[in-house]
Amino acid sequence: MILLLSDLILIVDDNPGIRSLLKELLTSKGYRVEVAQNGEEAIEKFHKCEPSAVLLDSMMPGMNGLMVAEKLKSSSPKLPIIMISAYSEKEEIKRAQQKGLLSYCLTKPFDINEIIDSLHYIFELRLSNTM
Amino acid sequence: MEKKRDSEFVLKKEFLNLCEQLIDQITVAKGFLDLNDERDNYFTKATRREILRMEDLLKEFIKKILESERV
Repeated sequence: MILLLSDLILIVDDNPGIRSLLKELLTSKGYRVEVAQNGEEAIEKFHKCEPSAVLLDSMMPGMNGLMVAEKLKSSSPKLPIIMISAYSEKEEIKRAQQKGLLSYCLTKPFDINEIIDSLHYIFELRLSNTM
Repeated sequence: MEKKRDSEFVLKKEFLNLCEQLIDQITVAKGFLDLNDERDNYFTKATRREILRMEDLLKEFIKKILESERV
């Protein structure tokens, strides 16, 4: 298990409960965290804090998760994005994965261990790519 | 007839949206329960079991909505 404590994760979700849960979870595991409540704020914070990975909700008012993922990937193609999709959106997410927009995808209702496992997965992948 | 189908479609979309909001709240409740220090406590386990049951029922409800026409 590879846990790089200096990694900063950007959490993007319009639901304050989900933002609060993910923030508590990730800080308890030693990650640094930034939060955004919509797509526009996510793009702004992404340029300010340059996160190691983004945890992105798919269903948000205004810019949805896929639109945000496309924007972020256009300025940072190697950025790992973990999409948290709504239960009824499985097909759209599959298409986004085929386009190479997402590193990992979780479906709500997720389990907190799945979040940690997905981060370990993408950081282990990053480490093996640099070796 | 067309008008009726359109209003049914809108209604199904609204149901779906409400279900997704409920799924979010279940995710948060279950997550905080798992984060607490007393996860092996009898009542914590029982609460988690009931939340999972709610989760299953909601998933079933969403599945039924998605199976119905034009959603």
